[in-house]
Amino acid sequence: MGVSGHIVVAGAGITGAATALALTEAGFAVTLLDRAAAGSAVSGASLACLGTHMSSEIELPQLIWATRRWAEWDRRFAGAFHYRRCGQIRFIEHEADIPVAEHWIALERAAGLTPELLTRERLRRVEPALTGPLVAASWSPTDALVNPFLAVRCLISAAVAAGARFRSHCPVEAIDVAGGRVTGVVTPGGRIAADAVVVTGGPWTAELVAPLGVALPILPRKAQCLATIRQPVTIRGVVGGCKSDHGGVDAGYTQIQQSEAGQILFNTVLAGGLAEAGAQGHVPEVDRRFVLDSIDTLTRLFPALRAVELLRSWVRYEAVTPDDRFIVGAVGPAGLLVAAGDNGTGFCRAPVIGEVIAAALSGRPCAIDSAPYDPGRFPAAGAT
Amino acid sequence: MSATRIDCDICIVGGGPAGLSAALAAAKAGATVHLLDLFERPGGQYFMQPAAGAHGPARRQIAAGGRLIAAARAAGVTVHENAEVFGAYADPVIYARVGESALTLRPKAVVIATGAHDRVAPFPGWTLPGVMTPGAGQRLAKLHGTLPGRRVVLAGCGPFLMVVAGQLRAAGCDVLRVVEATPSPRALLAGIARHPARWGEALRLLTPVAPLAGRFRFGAVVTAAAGDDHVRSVTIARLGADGLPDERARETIADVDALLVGHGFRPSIEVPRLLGCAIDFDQDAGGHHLRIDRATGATSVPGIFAAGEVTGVAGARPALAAGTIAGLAAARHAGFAAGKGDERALARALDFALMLRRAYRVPYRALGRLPRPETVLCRCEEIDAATVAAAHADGARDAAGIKLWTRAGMGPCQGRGCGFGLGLQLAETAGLDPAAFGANPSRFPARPVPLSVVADALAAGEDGA
Ligand SMILES: Cc1cc2nc3c(=O)[nH]c(=O)nc-3n(C[C@H](O)[C@H](O)[C@H](O)COP(=O)(O)OP(=O)(O)OC[C@H]3O[C@@H](n4cnc5c(N)ncnc54)[C@H](O)[C@@H]3O)c2cc1C
Ligand SMILES: Cc1cc2nc3c(=O)[nH]c(=O)nc-3n(C[C@H](O)[C@H](O)[C@H](O)COP(=O)(O)OP(=O)(O)OC[C@H]3O[C@@H](n4cnc5c(N)ncnc54)[C@H](O)[C@@H]3O)c2cc1C
Repeated sequence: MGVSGHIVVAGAGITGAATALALTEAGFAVTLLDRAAAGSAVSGASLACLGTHMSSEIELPQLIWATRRWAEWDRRFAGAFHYRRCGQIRFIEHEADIPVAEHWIALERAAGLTPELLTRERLRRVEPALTGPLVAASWSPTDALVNPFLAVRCLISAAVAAGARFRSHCPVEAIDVAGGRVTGVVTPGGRIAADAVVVTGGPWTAELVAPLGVALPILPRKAQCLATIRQPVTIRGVVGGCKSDHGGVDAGYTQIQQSEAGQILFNTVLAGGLAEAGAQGHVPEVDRRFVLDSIDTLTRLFPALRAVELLRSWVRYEAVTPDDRFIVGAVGPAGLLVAAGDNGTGFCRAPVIGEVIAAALSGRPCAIDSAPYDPGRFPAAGAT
Repeated sequence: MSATRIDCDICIVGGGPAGLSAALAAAKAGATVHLLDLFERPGGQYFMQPAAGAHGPARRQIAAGGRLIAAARAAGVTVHENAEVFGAYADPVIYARVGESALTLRPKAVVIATGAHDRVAPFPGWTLPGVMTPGAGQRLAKLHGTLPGRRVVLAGCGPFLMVVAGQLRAAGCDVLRVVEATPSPRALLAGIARHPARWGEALRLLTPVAPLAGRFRFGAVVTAAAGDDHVRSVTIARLGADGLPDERARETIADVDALLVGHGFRPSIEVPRLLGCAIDFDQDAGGHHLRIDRATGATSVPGIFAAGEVTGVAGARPALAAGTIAGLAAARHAGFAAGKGDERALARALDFALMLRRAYRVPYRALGRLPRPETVLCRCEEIDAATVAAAHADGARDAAGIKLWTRAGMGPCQGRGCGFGLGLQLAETAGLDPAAFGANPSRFPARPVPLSVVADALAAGEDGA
């Protein structure tokens, strides 16, 4: 595309933060805006596992690129966001799922990664408190955790240090277009002129670009989590469920880990949860079915935690697309780009998204294949 | 699995004056009523029931409470003691913990009467052992017959200080000082003079503290407490015309072994917030409190009624009158023919409460200035004032932002204890509006509960369970 000048990035979650940093480093003048505080939507409430394991076959190269970039950022920013390479376990409850795990392990190893299948005995050594009825587990030692809020803050600070401007509590109300080109954004504090606008508004991205005739297939879905009161160190890494053809927990999604402060954070999602449209600003209570399923899974895997006290729950919205992949790139009028559709695993992918946007706006080749995120796969999105 | 499931007409959360009178009114109207209270015995703050029964300085109150509890039981109210409500959904359904067991209620209507708790603001030394709230000190004396200390300083703002001063003196404490922030008792005495119906009560309040008259310091605040492993000395300062402590007008009180400080009460809104009940903000009514229709006690959520301190701090009399109104409205909602209660009695009681509120002046500005950079503001997570100030400088603008930046409010109390102090500090040092600053939003569970109890309670509440 090749744009020069001033770019507004609308939405300061991890996607917007990584995008603002990439654009600033590519030489653009950047203004990053958020309707509330930075990271106050789903990003700050994330479990923020940065992993390559058992996530997406199609996106494996992108995930490898992203996790390397995160490790580089950890060194560059001197541990500012508490990166810890704790590894990830995917527990296996049925013999029939072992081949599924072996399939993933084989394809990740072929890409140069080091996951392996753990017997129950080895699993005891890797994650001693995980004493539930498991037949085996897969183990990816290079997967990591970060403090999500600090990560958002760190990337924004780096962008600001490199010349970007950041404004919180400044919602973008509309995007101005003249002569088929984006010319700026409207905020309550006035109009901000721009040569390009990148919308990184999470689930609310579709709403913001709809008036420009762009129909993005992005829907908000509830993302929920539970936290116990502080515990001594009990869980060392990230514990998730192996992909499976079985029903129940195996068909859904589980993530369990312990925070730096000692709280056990856990969630098990067995079913849907698409939100009504326009639910922004209204955060509902956690679903009771979700609470039951999550406690059931946690205490089955870690029976010793039954007596531990539940402290809090939270609910946010993540952005879902039909094929579980981000939509990243130019859509609609010239100068309009979107980067949304995190599908609940967007934290890890943020560096890739920033790179794809920076390359598109600079008109230079992208360091990583951007095809999986091409808006053109949804014709109604009006890709340009 | 150990869970009890009860389907009933009305569930009352909280067994103080408001909850008890609501329960009695609803039961008399014919409803099946279950009342849950987290203490060992119902009564709440005002009608607190010691194991030993009605004696000591508060015996009249204890006896009156005992009669109300007996009347409620006689009318058929089932009282669940040690029942801690931790969850609520607008179905409505109420989830409680009783020890290690779960109790789930599926009522047709709910009355929220969770009362209030002491409102505290941090100052240097406030986390020392021996420093506590007047409510905690009163509880020790009233319920357990133990003294918070031998040589006690009481400080804060409001008529409650006098109540506690009188009770502690009667219990044998040497009350060294009563430090009241309001400049003088004149407005209080003038206000009482205008309400002849309350003279008897006022006399009963003032008589026990009269011998302490010389120990009162009006227009002053505690600026610091000191001691190595326990509070030993307390520094107070007079408030200047600008509302800030005048460092030149200081006094240090030595040989102290207990300091009781509180600045009124904060409504306990956590459970009704889970239900989505709307709130209003009025610092002088305790801060955030439930918005209700005074004629019925109806909250913004259909089928959920409320009465007492949780709707704005006003004391026991309005709580009793409003409880009856809310209990009757809940009974009507559940399909019973019931009257409406005495709205005029409530109005009179509220009128007096409003006079009391106006007679006292909480020193918000001074309280916001007391913490030093190293003073802890959030006890659970041990977050100091300097850390909070840095978060503000970096862009945090409200309770949610401060929590994200610093973890203040993320601990077991979930901001119930530190919210007031955080708001004051940022109002004073950064010009933030305490109403807009907000509070850490209440989320399930309203109080920490064992995972097994949560699971049992939720399972018992499911349709067909
Ligand atoms: C419990 C939980 C666990 C998770 N675990 C993981 C994990 O382990 N690994 C992982 O990779 N991902 C995980 N995720 C998902 C991950 O957090 C998200 O995918 C990611 O944070 C999405 O970031 P985002 O920047 O796209 O969206 P958001 O964080 O939603 O950012 C969008 C921003 O745009 C702003 N905005 C919206 N509209 C406007 C407007 N009109 N003007 C200005 N600003 C606007 C919003 O205020 C918001 O700050 C988890 C999420 C949750 C809730
Ligand atoms: C610490 C303290 C001491 C006080 N002492 C006096 C006094 O001596 N004299 C005086 O006139 N006024 C006193 N007050 C003022 C008092 O609030 C009113 O006088 C009166 O008690 C208010 O009645 P209420 O029913 O609204 O609330 P309360 O009397 O406070 O009753 C509320 C009840 O709800 C229960 N509850 C709260 N949350 C839950 C939950 N999640 N699950 C189950 N139960 C719950 C509490 O245990 C309590 O028993 C005091 C207030 C406080 C906070």
